[in-house]
Amino acid sequence: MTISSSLNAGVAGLFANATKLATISDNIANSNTFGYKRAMADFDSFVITQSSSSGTYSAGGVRASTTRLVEERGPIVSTSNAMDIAIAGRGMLPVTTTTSVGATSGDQPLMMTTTGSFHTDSNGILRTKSGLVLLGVPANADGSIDTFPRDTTAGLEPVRINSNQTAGDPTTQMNLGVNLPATETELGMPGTPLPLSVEYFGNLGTSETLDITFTPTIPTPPTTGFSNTWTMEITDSAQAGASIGNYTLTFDDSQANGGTLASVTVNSGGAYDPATGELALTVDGGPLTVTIGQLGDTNGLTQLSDRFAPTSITKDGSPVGNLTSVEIDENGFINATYDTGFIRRLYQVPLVDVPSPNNLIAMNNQAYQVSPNSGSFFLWDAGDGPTGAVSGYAREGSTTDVAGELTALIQTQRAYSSNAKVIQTVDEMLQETTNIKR
Amino acid sequence: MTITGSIANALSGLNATSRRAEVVSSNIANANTDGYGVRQLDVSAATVGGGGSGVRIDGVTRLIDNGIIQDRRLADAGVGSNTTNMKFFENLEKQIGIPEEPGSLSGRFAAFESALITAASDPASEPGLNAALNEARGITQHLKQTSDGIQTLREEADNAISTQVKQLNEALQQVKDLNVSIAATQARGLDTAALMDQRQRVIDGVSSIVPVNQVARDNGTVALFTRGGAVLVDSKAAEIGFTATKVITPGMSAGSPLSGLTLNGVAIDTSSEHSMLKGGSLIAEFAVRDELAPDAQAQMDAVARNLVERFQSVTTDPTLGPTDAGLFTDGGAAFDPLNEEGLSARLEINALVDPAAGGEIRRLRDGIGAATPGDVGDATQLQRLASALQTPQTVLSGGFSAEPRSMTVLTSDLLSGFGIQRQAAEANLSYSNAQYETFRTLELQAGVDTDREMQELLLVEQAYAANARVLQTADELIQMLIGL
Repeated sequence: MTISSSLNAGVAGLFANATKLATISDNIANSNTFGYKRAMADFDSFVITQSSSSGTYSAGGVRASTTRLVEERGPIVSTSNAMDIAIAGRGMLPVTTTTSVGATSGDQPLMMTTTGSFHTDSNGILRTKSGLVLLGVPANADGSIDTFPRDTTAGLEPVRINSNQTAGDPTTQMNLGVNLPATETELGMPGTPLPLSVEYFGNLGTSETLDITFTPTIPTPPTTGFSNTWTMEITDSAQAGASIGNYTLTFDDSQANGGTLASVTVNSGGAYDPATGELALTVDGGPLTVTIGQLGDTNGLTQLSDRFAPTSITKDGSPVGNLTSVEIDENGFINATYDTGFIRRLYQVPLVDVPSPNNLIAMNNQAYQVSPNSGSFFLWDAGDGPTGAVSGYAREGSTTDVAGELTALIQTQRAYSSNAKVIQTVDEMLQETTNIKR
Repeated sequence: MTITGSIANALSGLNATSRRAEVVSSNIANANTDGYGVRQLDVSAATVGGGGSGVRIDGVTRLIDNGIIQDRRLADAGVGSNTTNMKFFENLEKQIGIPEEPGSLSGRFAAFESALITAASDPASEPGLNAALNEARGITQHLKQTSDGIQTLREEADNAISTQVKQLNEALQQVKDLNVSIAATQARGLDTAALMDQRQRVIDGVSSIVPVNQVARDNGTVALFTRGGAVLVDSKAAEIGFTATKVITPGMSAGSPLSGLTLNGVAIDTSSEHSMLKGGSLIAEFAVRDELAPDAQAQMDAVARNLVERFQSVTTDPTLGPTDAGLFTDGGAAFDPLNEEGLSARLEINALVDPAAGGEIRRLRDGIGAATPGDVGDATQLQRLASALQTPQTVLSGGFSAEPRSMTVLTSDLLSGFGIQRQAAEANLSYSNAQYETFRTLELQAGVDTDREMQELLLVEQAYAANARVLQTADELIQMLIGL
């Protein structure tokens, strides 16, 4: 019956447009929600009359289907919180629910989100206000990350930042850029030893010193002029001032290499490697490499003019410091900065990617879950493979385009009233039919 | 949505501009502040996730020329060192007195000589003898005062060293603490310029004591070295040790019992030639205490010895035995050349001639060894005494040249020697002052330029208005959309 099929098609049209209206209203409502992905209603027609020659036509009507365009990316907006995270490109942050973190049994469900504003809670766990807990792979004490399984959540754990935490960094490398005064090795000089103490940090963050004395060798008559020879004695305060190295240094006085090391003789203690210019010393806490420069190198120990200048001594390590800030870099590494200027890697946040993001199950709070249609997930290092870089101090805006939604609203209103008109017309036509019999 | 993007851009523009106004206002407010480094706001185009997103504030840079500051500090150390030197010679000259003045040392010798000649013209007159004796006493007192004065200068130098070491230790500790604060503030991402200003002022405060060399280290911290290579601050502050001595006498010298310096517990050389801390007022004070003042003392002693020996001689006074003291004695006894050190402070009139000490004034006329009174009209001995002062003699100690001198020539030579050294110190001081002023002027030239800041303020105003206009337009666009 064609006339009633028109009525049904009209009703289906109303229903479909109401669905579209719902998506539009949802989009506009979330036009300022960070990480919101636009929902879209798609219309499909139903066909009832298969044969074109039957002479009659039954209206099949329309069916609405909705999809969420997870793959669409919103604009990235900068913010002032270091742990506001957005991703410039594909990939999502692995998160879980707050309730599952405290639970003693059961798995932590892997959820994902494209952006979040994470803050530490009373337990130091980084979470959003809406209850999403950031997951990451913990780093070792030296900042390295062990390999972790990429297709399960076994390696992931909630990111926990203890804001009262202190950390130290032992010294393992030192560069001794010192100029010795050549004039002190001349005949008739008093031969006063030149003291130098260099601080280093022990394994427990304690401040220790390497006390180095440079004693010039004064030529014995009849030899005159400069001896260009020094004795370097190194003692370690952590070993009650025990000598850890004694070297005889001779400097070049030729035109080409004047002032550079000509030879290093090890009298006792750690060996000198001429290829790298390093002394392999052993301090109380373990090995300490001290670079004094290769033979002929102008950057290490030199002996020029009349000034003792121990000005270019550099070393690694830092004293124990308190955590001052936590930031995430573009590779997804969460780095803690301590008030001594020392930066330590705490976690790596991998990015989750699935083959078909649009088929993810949308959850509350702009979170998504893997569905059978989305394909299985893989944990990428940020920036690797298809994934984009991680941005701190940034959030991804809503993908809603208010102008576009308002235009669609006008269209939907028109379509809705047209369908209502069809129903009204069918009603009037049926009235006419009914009126034939009086 | 791009309109939201333009709102965010305009907002970041407003933020950056108001921050810039803050920096400009701070510069203008501190246009006359000493040690203030001009601030400049650094901004760059922000990119978030590969796309542009307004402007980002990178931080505040403190614009200073470290080279000029370095040179100014070294010049400051020169000023400190030369001022100490100059003051020492100035004081020394005052102690001895300018030759023309009646109370000066050479004035006193001249008066003694003329009193002896007057006494010789009327040997019987007791007042004449007394006048000569008084003048002789005046000389001993003057020499003693000068010697005490030199030791007081040494005590003052010792005291100044103690104060300066304390000041230096405090400043080094402060620099170390400020280094820690700056590193921590920088780690928090905050502005460190004010702390850096403070640190610069602290370092400037000690730059006249020792010549400091500042070397930049990680995280905004600095290391301090002296030009001689002593590490003052390098993550740790050096501890300089010194013990003050209250009373200093001529026999005391550096090491025993006067204190030297220790750097982190290790004794270091304090000589003006080899010390690692040389170049500033600290080592200049050591030079006064251990080199200049002892030299001056040695010269004073040489003069005193020369005086004593002129009278402790059989030629001058035939009545003296080989071990008898002359008119001038070493604390009452005969002078022994082995015991020269500090002689000028111990010089006394022979008790045998001094009526106040129970002696007889007639011995001045008869000879000190004359047991019985001689002829009251005999002036031979008094003439011998006067000629003892006039006879040119070679000065055996105190670094004087071998040329024979009369007593008057010797005292004026002594004084002119000090005068020459003072003039040299004055010339050095005016040179280092000029150098200091030059670098200071250069440093101030790089300071706040109020005209430029005002110009900057105008730009800030324009930029703020433009950003606000963008916000307004974006708002109008959205209004238009809603009005559809």
